[in-house]
Amino acid sequence: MEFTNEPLSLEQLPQFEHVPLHPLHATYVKVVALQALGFDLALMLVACFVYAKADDFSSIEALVFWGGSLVCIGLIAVMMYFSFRKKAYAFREHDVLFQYGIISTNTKIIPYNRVQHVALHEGFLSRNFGLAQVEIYTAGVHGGDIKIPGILKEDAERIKQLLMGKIQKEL
Amino acid sequence: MDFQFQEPQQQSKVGVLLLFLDSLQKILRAIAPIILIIVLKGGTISAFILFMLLMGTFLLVACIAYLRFTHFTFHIDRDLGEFIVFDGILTKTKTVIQLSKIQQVNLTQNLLQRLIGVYGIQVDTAGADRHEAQIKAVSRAVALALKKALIENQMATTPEATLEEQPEIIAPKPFLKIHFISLIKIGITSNYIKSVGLILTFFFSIWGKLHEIGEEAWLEEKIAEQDWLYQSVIYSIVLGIASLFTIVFLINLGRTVLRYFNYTMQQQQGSLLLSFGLINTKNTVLRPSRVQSVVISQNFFQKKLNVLEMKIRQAISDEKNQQKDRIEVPGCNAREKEAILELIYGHQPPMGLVMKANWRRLVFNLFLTVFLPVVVAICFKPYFEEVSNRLFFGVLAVYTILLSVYHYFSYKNYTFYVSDQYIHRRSGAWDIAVDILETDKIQAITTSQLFWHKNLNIGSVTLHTAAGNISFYLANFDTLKHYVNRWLYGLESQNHNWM
Repeated sequence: MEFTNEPLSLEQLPQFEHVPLHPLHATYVKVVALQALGFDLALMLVACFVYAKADDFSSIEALVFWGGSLVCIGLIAVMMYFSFRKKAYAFREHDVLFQYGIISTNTKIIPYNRVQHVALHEGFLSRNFGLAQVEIYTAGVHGGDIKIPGILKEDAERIKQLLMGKIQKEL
Repeated sequence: MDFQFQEPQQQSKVGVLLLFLDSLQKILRAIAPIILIIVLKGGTISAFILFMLLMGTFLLVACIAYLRFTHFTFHIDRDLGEFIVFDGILTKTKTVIQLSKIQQVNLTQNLLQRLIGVYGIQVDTAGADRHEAQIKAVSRAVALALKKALIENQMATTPEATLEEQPEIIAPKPFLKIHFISLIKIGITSNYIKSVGLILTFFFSIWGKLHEIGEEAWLEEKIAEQDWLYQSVIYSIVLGIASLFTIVFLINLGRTVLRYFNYTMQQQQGSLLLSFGLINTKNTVLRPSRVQSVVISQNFFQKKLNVLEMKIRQAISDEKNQQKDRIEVPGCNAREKEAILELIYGHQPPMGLVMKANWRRLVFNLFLTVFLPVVVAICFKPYFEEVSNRLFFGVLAVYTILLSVYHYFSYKNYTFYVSDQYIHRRSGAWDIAVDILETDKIQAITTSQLFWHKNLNIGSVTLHTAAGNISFYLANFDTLKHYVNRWLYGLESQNHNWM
């Protein structure tokens, strides 16, 4: 019998940075839009309240105030949209990858044999669009968890089953 | 005498006294402000009523203590493998702990317990915010037997542990004993900032208590009464700094000695048994397999005196109170450090390849903590006309120089070492800390890169462990990613236990 035991070349190790990532489900943009709307409305209310309370605004000050408020509101919406666009995930054979972040691009990786438990979370808004969030927990204390929003309910269910299977197998 | 703990049993008889004093102390602490008010307002209550009140309190507390004693029982149910504690007078609690879930059994003895001659027992499991079960007063023999019974059971349930236990049960000899002199060395060379913080907290808590009862003016008067400026300003500043340093020095020394007096480590069944403390003797068990990371820190003076501090982090079972899972070894020398590392890892962790951070890290830190504050200060200068130019720019110059030196040294020390199984990170400017992490203990990895660093090919990595995160910022991103792939390969191709 031929037996080989070639040394592993470190260059040939699978590279996480070249894994093609799935974006979040397109419907999730509606949830994000609604959330942004909610935030913006709250901000508008605060702005109106402040404006009503402080009655000694000169016209220029008022212009600056409302201009600033509008910029803030716009910025929130844009940031939330880009945050949605940047989020992506991939399930490999032995680990899960999640990419997020606007200013800095972060990639979090959890090997399946470090997963403590998996949860499925359906937010109030997401549920109406048939979406769910998959939450993958490890024993890592600060930020050792991955929460992937905007996955179709059926897919999320399947992912959960897959992960549970993996965890069982790893044990 | 053989203790089986099959039957529910009470605490030691003298324990009633302890419970009495314990309850009394709690009540006195609760009504202290009221008493203080009565005293300060020149109380109008007659001595008789006061006496009656005190007697009444005493009797009540005595009754409560007695009932607390009679209603508190504990036993081990061997069939179900549970440790059961009954507690409570009006609201009764039954605490059931699976023996296999017990992580730590600590014997404690505070000053009261020491005077009465009893021991307290704390039982901990993972994932709780406090001690799962606490027994206040048992005799030494019972305490030791119970601890043995609780731990023994645990050993029996983990099959892999029993195999290696056998040869090591022979007489436990001290593995390490920290000399009083080492404690003094550590006491005078570390934790300055912590002690200053303690002094401030102490001062403000007194002020706050007085404020509560509306008497803070008293303290303010006392402070104003002191002739701070009876000599020149320089003299009082020097005097102030000198006295602050002396106080910090003494507090540091006192705290270290009180806390870590008679620090001994004993090897016991493959784990380490630690005990230390002058007034509160604390006993802790350190299991090498639960260790997540180790930090070794040493400053310039400590290096000259050949002492160093070690912090051993175990898996955090309690997010709010992380100190509990952090075992500190104050003042051991280089040889003892090696012995401890040997015990935890089985060998000396090799350092491996060196990795330095990009110079942008230094520039960025300087920008954030020196440049920005100075610019802001200069912008706001016109609003503080009473401050002379000389003083203002003098303070700014000192601030700039101090922080620049600090950042320069902390950048110089900032190094990452990667070997096959271990990751070391050296950081700090004065107290130089080395974090040691075994790659098997990694739970998750995050890489991150700011968008303007993409073309420069620099980025950061954070390693999440069950005892906290270790990050390395702004290094060559390709190299980091290469290491991440290697760590992932190591984690995923084998199935090592991380705890």
